[in-house]
Amino acid sequence: MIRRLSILVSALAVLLPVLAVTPALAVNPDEMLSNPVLEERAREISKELRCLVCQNQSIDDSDAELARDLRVLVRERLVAGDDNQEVIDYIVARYGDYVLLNPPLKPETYILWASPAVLVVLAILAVFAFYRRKKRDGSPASASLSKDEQKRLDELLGSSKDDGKS
Amino acid sequence: MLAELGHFALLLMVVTGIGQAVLFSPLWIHSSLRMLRPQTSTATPQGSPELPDDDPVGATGTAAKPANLFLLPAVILLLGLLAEGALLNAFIVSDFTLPVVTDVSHSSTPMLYRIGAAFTPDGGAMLVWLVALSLVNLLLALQMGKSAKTGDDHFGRNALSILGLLIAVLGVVTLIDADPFLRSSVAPLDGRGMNPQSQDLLKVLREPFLYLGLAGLAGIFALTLAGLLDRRIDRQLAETMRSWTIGSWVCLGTAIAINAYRSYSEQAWGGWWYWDTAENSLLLPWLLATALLHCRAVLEKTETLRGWTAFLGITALAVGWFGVYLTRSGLFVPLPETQLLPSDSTGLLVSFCAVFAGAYYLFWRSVDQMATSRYFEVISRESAMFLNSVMLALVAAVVLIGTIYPLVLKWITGDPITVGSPFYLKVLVPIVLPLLFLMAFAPALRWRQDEIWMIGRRMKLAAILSLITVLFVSIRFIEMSPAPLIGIGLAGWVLTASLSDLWARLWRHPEHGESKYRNLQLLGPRYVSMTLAHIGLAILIAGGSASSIWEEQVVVSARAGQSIQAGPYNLQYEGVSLLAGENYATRQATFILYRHSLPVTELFPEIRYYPTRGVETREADIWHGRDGDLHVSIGDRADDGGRVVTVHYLPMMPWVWGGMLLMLIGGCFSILTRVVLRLKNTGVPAS
Repeated sequence: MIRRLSILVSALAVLLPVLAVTPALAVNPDEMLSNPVLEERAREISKELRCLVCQNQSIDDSDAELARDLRVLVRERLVAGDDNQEVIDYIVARYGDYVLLNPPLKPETYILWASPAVLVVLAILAVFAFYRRKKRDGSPASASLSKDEQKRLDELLGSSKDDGKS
Repeated sequence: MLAELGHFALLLMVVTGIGQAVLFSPLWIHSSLRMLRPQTSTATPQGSPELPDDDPVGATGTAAKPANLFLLPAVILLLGLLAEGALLNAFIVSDFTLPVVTDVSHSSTPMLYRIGAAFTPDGGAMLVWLVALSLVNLLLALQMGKSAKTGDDHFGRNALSILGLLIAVLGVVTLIDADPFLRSSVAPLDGRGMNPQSQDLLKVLREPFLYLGLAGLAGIFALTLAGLLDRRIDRQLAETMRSWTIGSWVCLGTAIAINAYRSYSEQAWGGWWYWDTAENSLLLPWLLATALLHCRAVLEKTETLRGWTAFLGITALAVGWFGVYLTRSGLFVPLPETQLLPSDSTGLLVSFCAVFAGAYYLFWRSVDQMATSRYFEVISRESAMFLNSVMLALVAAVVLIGTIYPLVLKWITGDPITVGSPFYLKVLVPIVLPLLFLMAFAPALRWRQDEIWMIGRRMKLAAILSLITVLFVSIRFIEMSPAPLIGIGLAGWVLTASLSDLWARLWRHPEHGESKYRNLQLLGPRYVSMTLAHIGLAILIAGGSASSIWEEQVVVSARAGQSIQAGPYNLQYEGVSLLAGENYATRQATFILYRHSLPVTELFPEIRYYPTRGVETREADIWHGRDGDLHVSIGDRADDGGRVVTVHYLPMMPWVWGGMLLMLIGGCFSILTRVVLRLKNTGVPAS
């Protein structure tokens, strides 16, 4: 009990100065724009931009100070009259392609964007080849049972009959 | 002193692992050598009697009692438990002479989380993996010992020797990369404390489930390689692999569900999947385990798809191992918020390359000789399951490329890029939608051969019902983007197809003299668990799509007494109080939740402050209602003096959790019925 209390006291001692400062939360009400159309557009843009210090989270989702700065920056540009693409270009020019959650199409990412399509085509070809080879090599499944199968069937039937009796 | 004992046990584990690899299988080395020689003879016939003749040591080994099969695995498991116990003890008594303990624990950390903290550092996680592996090793030995009574057991010995080798390799990697038992000469007064983000019961459970799943995949890997060595990827192997595939599928699925729920409840914005590295490296082995699950069933029924099943059996472990490397290596953790220590995982990568180079070489050498004479028509159940597994593998391949592409690009050009959820959604949706479409057919199709018009007749009802769903949803919500609507429609398609198939089976006209319950008995545990899992997936997809469309978000600066409207709910903010947790201080807000002006419950979202690391975490509070989740979190004071409150109303979100749970229940049901049947069968005297 005393230990608990001492933890509480020490925790509070550390906590109090923290309470005084104002950290950010994802989308604070005081960041929001009064114009709902602009705010909606700001949200849309924010979804495409990543928080630079988190793992794959958009700035809209992040508590980090840096994400807050970016959100404010997006809104400033929107108020200044930029369209969505101009805002994104503005931020990319300052922070690089790294901020874009959706990797841009450029020579370095051609392989990334092409790979799913290439994989799908390869898979389709492989599946076609698979069926063609099966048709050529394989004998169609015969309707009657092979000797082994018949034996196994007899065994199974025999054992299930036994089960029925017991 | 105990830590040194644990260290010694770990060393002994490596030695016994090598011992198991060598002793159990002189044949293994022998047949590898034979494989390297140019092939002159054709594939050996099944269960070849010539193998023991090749090697007198092996022959005497196989002739011995089956009891010696599980002596070594039992010793290894004991050693593993000893090492794990020693590490846990160090965490429980807070032995700060061990740097691992100092890094992630603190004397004020509650007991439960001290134990949980033992799983989080590199060395501790590797140790959990080793213990899980040795458990799998012993279980496999027991399984093999049972089947060894009927005939020669060199197959089981091969599998066990491969597992022994894996245990030895991972043991060595643990000792080289991140030895948890090293002591520092100067002990600090106290530790740095556990990562507050991990201080949660569910999060603590995630690691054991993940590593159990990976260990299960290692069991499958060993069985597959043993099968490849004998060129016997057949029905018997598929039967042996059955429990292992379902077991690791359930364990990995549990780890994924825990991960998703944790990020949902910890963060302020009600998302549950971010496509970050840790999540992707969980998803990859699960996707391949799902593909394997289906191919294994085909292999067991018709002995086709041998090569593909073997390939999946090897690759599932490969991606799991690589995922562990990616998350442990810290290559992706953005600076400077990382709580992880820089660590060295070179050993993990080197051993990965060595093990899988060997495995794929073996696969490549032996796969040609497994050409099967059986085949199936394009329209058949095998076909549907095969195509589905190909698509699952495609999804896995795309996720893998998306995960490692930024790394490779940064390495080549030094130019960092991000691959985030917009990329995955754009690329994966076109693959997943046909996957769902095909998935509904499989249960209604016949094995080997079926007719199109017959399927049409069977799927008529499902098609009509799901079309109605799609039309209804798309007319009502015409302005929405089409992808989630198609998702809902396809979820409806899978659901109605599963249910109508179940219906048709239940109302089959009973033959003369059969009991009323015969139809129920005919369903069988496999069918029931499959149906549960399919329905679960459909519900999960429907819930995920719906909540993404109809999500409502409210962010306000609230004052005490203010009420906030979200969906059908009304939240009344009561204020924030300062409370003490076990090793944190918390600002806890109180909300009273009303639904149509009737009080439902109270919600307590928090901001916790952990003084040992000086870190704040947010804990949202969630109400899982009938029509959706209400997700509340609080922030700090707003500029106008109110409290920042974020409320999300996510309609149909409980469907996501329910769907995940139903899939896991389906898997568990399958395992449980198998265990019960086993016990029943052993109870009856052998005929």
